[in-house]
Amino acid sequence: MEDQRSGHERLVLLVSQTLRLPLDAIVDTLQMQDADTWDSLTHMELVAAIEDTFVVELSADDIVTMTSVSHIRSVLAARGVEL
Amino acid sequence: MIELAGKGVVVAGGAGSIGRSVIGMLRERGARLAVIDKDPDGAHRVDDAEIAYLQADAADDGAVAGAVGGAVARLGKIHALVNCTGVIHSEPLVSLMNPARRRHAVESWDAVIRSNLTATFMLAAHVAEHMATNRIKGVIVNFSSVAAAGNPGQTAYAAAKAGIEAMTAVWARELGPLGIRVVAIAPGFVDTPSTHAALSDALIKEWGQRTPLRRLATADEIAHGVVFAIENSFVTGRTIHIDGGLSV
Repeated sequence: MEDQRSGHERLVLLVSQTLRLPLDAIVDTLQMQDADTWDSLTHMELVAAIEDTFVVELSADDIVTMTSVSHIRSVLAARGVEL
Repeated sequence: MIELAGKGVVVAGGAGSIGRSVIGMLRERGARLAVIDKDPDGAHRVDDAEIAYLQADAADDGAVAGAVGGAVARLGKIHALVNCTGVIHSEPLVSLMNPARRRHAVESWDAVIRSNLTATFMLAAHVAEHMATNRIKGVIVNFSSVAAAGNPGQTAYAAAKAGIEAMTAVWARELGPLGIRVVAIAPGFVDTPSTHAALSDALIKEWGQRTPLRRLATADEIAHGVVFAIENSFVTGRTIHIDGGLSV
């Protein structure tokens, strides 16, 4: 069955599930340094989840850049993902 | 299934008996190869102009960095690393019958850990960095041994091999999200010159008799396991025992 949720909703959900944070904590200003659960290992899980969900392949530069929800949105927008 | 034709593969310790069998099977499948080995005469034994032979001591991080850089220059992208570097070493923890050297030497402990465990770590770290930064969904194949379960008389070697199995599991979890697989091969006793150099004929015969299949493995049987680990795209984090049932 097709996922009816918006790109924004799917991003918030996957970040919430991967970082084990409540949905309302997933805001654009959330940065890697702000969340104890967002370390280099969960960052890789986040990368894999984003690639699976949005069917994109992120470059190493993208991965290094995505240190906040805002940056994740920018990287995805640059790859044509509508959020 | 991973198609090996045209893929870049680095075989560390490729000048040894098992390494040469691995090279032969990978060449048959069309892989492009670079060998890293400390043996200055190893290029003659590999004897294939299509293979880049990079002489380097895998126990030296600077040398490993240079060799992996050389492999990248030759192959472009490294899709697989086969980590079969290392040496067998036998020495009991305590030798009551040898008053001159009653305890396992710290020097030999350090050397065995460095050439087996640390070398595997350094090679994997450099190649994994190359795979991760270039988003290559590659595979690292490490070499453990039946000794990892605790062969008497092989404290340092067994510790190194058990460590390699642990690293394999850790790296599979760390690198899995990037699509990089890590597998270990644990051979039993293999009929190679290094086995004959490390163990007496009587001991080799005894181990053959203790093995359910009543013989030692051939190098090709171990190499076949390496090819399986590279080609099967869903195996990771595990140690594959190829030991004639010795560990059962």
